[in-house]
Amino acid sequence: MTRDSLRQALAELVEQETGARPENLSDDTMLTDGLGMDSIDLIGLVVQVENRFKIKIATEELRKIAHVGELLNLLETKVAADGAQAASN
Amino acid sequence: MEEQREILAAAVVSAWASVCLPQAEIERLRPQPGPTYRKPLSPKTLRFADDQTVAGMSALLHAIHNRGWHDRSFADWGVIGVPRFLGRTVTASNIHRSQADPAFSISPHIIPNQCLHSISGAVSVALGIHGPNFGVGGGPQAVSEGLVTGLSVVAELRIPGLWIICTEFDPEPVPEPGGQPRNAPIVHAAAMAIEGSASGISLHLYRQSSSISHAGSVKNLAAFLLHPKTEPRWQCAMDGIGVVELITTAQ
Repeated sequence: MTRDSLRQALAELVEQETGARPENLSDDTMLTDGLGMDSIDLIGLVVQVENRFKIKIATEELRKIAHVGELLNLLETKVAADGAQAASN
Repeated sequence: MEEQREILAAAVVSAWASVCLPQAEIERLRPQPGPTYRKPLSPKTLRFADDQTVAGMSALLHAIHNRGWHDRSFADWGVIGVPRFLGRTVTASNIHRSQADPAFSISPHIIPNQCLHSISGAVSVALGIHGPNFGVGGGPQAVSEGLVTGLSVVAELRIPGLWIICTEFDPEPVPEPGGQPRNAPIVHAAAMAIEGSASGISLHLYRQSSSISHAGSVKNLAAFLLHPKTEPRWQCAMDGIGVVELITTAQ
């Protein structure tokens, strides 16, 4: 998936989680203050991301994520690794 | 000859309302399920709430509105949520999905929104309540257990009042694996403000050896609260204790 398609999918999941379509989902948008999410919303978003992309995000990985760009970086890595593993099987 | 009654506890229902809704209407009500109390609910308040919580909040907001308590503070009050089988449909759906896909992750919203204490928690947030808030019952005897617990809390006289929110489905949803009901469930909710002394409907718990047998349902409690002046009393049994009774008094 391209970064733009990941961003589009993330916007849909944020809307499902918060009830509001995010106006700004740029790389430097903060997940909490920027998107109006509290800690439980953030965990809810991660759960939705995991279910959508069939990946797992560890707590240690989540601790390093504060901005949309960092989450997209992680998603790009995880989705690519998942695709590569599927191709090798 | 009337049997001698030993009153074990008494209080007054000073405000009340009930609702009866098809489950299909719950989503429409979710953002603001009743008249506004002080300010509209935050869009987050009931976003992931169980359908019974939405119905209970609807009954509560109508009770406040009917009594004209729009500006009254409930900060020192308590609230008891009395659901029956709350969260069963959502939990069943999540179990089914987990079995079908072992990698499926469960939403963190399940825990605060699908448990026995979810209704009281949501109400305490909505009304700014700082007194005790907890769930009671959860099963077939929920109504009598909730009312007896409410009488006990009010008898302590440590809080000025207590909201009791009773909810149930009747008929219960029969879910498809995806969680959608295959039947047409109806959700019933009754909200009652309980105070030690006030004008309203009398609430008693009394000992009675030849106790009535039915434990009471939200459906018939809600029907009573809808027309309390035409139905003089409502009763249910509390196993091992006696009878809980609501008696209409002069308004």
